[in-house]
Amino acid sequence: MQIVVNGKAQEILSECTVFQLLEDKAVTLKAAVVELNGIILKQEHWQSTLLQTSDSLEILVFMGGG
Amino acid sequence: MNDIIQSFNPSDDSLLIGGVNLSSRLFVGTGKFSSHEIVPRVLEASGAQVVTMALRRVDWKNPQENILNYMPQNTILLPNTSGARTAEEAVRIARLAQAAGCGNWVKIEVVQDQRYLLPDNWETLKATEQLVKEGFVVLPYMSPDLGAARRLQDAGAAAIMPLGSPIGSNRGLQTKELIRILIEEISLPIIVDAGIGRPSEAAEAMEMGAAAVLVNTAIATAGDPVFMAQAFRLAVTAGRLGYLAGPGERRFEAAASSPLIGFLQEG
Amino acid sequence: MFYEQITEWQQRLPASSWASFSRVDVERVLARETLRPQDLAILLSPAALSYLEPMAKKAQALTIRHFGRTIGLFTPLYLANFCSNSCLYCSFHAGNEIVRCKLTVEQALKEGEAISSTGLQHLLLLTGESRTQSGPAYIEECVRALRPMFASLGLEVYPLSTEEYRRLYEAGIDSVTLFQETYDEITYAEVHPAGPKRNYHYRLEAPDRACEAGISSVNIGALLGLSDWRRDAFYSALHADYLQKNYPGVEVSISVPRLRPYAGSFNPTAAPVTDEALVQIILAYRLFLPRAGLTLSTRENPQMRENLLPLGITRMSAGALTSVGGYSETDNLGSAQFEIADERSVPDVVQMIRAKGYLPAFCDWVNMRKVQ
Repeated sequence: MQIVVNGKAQEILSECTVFQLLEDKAVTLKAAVVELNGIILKQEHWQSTLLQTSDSLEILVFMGGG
Repeated sequence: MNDIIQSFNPSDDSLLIGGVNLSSRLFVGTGKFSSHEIVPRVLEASGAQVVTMALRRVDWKNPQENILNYMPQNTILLPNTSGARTAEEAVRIARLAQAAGCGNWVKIEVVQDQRYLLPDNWETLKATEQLVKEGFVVLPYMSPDLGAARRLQDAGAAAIMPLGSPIGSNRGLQTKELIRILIEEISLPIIVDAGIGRPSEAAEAMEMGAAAVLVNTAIATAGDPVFMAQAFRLAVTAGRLGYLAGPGERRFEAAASSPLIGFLQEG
Repeated sequence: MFYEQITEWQQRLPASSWASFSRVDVERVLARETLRPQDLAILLSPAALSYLEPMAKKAQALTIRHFGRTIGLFTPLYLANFCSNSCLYCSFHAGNEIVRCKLTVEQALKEGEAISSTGLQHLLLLTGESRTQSGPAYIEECVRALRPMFASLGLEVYPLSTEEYRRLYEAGIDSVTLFQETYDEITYAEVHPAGPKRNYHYRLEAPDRACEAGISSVNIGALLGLSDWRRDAFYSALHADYLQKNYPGVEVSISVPRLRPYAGSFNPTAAPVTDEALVQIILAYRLFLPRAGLTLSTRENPQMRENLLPLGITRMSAGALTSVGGYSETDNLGSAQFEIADERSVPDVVQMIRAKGYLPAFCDWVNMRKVQ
């Protein structure tokens, strides 16, 4: 199914949790922030949240900044 | 040892913000470094306890890359809301940053002007009001306007961060007079942020009575960022000590005549 | 509130401090741009006496920079001299046998006309403290009647509530003058043995209430000579600074009235305020408060007024009477509050100001608010 990740369309398998997606993308789980459809998704819910068609995810981390 | 001359101990002159006693009055930004690897050495040389960073989308080429990996243990993280053009966006970024588990400090940076990167005071005020309500320790970056600073103070900001000159310009304290007025009139810590290009300019800000300075570009883009960080550390301490010592006196020659008050001697 | 600063500085500035400041301290203060309270104290101390000329130069330059070479003119109109207080230093003392009088609105109008014909546009209305004889309603009536005749009306009466200030603001008052007389609570209690004026705090907080009510200009000060003048000058200036900081939209001025001869037999134990001391006070005020107005009344004689003018003064009264009535043929209906030392007419004062190289300003504020 199709979802949007960081503004780009992406195909994923059905039955994919947020946690699995992050793992697949090799994101450092400790330091990431996730926003699902405009709402912050806390870490404790990553494993239990299944992605749906047309979901929009923002996966953010801290970078250098002033 | 001559005990009339006190030795200056930075931790006796701590800066209280958001319930934390800071002994370093140099805040450092982590943007514009050629690589993140140098950051730990820079931070160590700077002695900074408060470090800023920005929230960005993961770089898929380097998904593990995260500035937090390079922060010394007890650093106070000050995420900024850079990228925000409105109060709403700033609030959103602040909440996201908090969700990452970095504490509840936030530097509000709301910029609509893409040419000079000057902050928008109105949106900054709105964001401050909202985030203070949500329990954040809010440090707004702003254009040094006294009226705006008063409102930010009333809104509950923990400090005020006026710019010295536009971000990245390294032009020093172009807004010096306005900053002086803020230091005079606002009872919150005034932290000069943006535009400080040289250690002497950081010292200048501290001599005026600024509570702290935030330096990013000048360190990150220096020939040797580690040396520059050390220079800034020394400059901030020097400026602060100069401020605490009080300005030197000017000798006044006795006036040969007293045209204005001479009348007191007559009659 | 301001009282917190008084208690703080009472501890930080004991009586022994004045003698502890040295010439070096004074020089350091004169080198500063912005002065702090401790600097103000140094300028009011004996050590600063040898520095009056450099202080005067700096004060004059600062005043010209912030105010130009202009002197605002005004005059007082005493509407009534009934009083329920027993201030030891004042002619209006309830126990004094003086001629008590209160102008009718018509009489007030006649007085106003006479004053207005001299060209003066700023009028200061005064009464003694008597809510029965000259209560807020009476004052308001007079204000409304006089409003069309003057560009701006000021009020110097007893402390009022915020609501009362608000009503008078709406009736046409835009400035309030109120002197704490002395900031020293002990002396204050001694010289105000009876009457509502005994309430030190109610008076101290009155300027705050006026500002909250919308009044856009306040004038404060101590009656110099009632108590230790150094302390009173220190707290007066601090009070002005407090008002400037807390009410940034309000124009703050400070006056320098010295005790004058009056009907009564009060003899203060405090040292008298010499001419030198008065100069020192004015200069210290100006250097500590670069943007505050400095008002000089006709308590001082012509020579003094002329000599003080270039040292930082921004406003003066002219052609003043402190009796009730007397400007028009409503001749001296009620006794005067204090002796006027400078009895020159408005044209003479104007000439003096011009001769000193200053511009007399008959009007520098026009109250544009519609009367509610």
